[in-house]
Amino acid sequence: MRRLIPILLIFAYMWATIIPISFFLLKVVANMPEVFPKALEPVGTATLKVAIGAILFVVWVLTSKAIVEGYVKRKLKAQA
Amino acid sequence: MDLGPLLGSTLLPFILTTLLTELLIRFLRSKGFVVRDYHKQGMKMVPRPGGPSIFAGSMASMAVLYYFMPSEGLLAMALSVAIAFAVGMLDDFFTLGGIEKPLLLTLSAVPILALGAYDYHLRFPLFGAARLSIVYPILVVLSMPVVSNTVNMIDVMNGVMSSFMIIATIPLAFFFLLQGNEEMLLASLSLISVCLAFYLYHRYPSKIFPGDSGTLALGAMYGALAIVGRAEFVGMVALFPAIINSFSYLASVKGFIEHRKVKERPIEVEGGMLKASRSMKAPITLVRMLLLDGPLSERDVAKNIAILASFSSALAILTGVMI
Repeated sequence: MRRLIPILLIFAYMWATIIPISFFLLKVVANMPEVFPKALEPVGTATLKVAIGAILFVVWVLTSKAIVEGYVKRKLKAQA
Repeated sequence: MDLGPLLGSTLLPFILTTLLTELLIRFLRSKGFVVRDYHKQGMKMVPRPGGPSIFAGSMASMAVLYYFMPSEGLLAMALSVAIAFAVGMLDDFFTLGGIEKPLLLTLSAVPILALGAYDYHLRFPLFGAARLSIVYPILVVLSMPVVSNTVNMIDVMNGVMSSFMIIATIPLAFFFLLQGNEEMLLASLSLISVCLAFYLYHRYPSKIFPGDSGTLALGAMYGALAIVGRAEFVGMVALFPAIINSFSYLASVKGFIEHRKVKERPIEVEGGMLKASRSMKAPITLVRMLLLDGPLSERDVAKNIAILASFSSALAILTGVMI
């Protein structure tokens, strides 16, 4: 069971971070047109929402990947 | 709930998949369609592919469900599964390249898009739905090959893929029950029944391997269920172990490279036990991560993956409650 704990923590991290990302995407980005109406005019709200959503998703994927790789490399170095 | 659709989604696929798998094992063996089980000592040969029995079981169940409750959603699911199964059969017998397979699998998204069996209001946990009228169809095209391949890549050892799919489909069924979506609930029960029947033959020591035709068909059914039933987030969370496995693998081999062409193996077999490769260049997989703390038997690896799947399924159920 002990060997499962780091992997379970990675799952918990992935799950816990996807929810604030959803929140940011939906609430903060959706309200941006009201906060910055002029600045957003040339870009378009939909494009911006998608772009920010995509960036956040990529950040989520990359941090999860970095955590997994970091864990594997640390273990391998410790055993070398 | 009427008895007809309930039996059509539980008993029928279970019995049909069981009978057909039994017959398929004999047929494949007699025709010499066997492959080596690399995690066993000696030259243990196992029949492959078991995809046809998985496909027949799920199609029969879908046909019965469609008879009782005709809908674009069920039709789209059935067609998506058929396309993924066809791609899998091609791969089983002719071995597709690392790029061709995902490209061909994008075709499994076509029935969902063509029949309009989706809702572009993506529902997020806690915060409601977002209208993604342009992006959502693109996500459908991308996600169908991703889910199918992800399920394909978790087929690493005896019984792992089938048990994983049973555990990962439970949150979907629970979510559909919560939402009162009878049609999708029955479709998810059908997926569980097919996987359960196949698991009886796929569990350690395997009597048959599903092959790509089996794994891709099941993956397509899972992806279609999540999209048509609007349970995208629930499905994604339940698939975390498979997502970590496939993504870490693809990231470490740097691209869509067919696994047979990867030089360094992530694990080694020694005296009947599985060991993680110590090479920094070997691909990172879920099994390798599990073996970093020391060798395990194949059966124990399968048990550990089932525990990980249960944990992510519990998170997925929680996600479903939050939607």
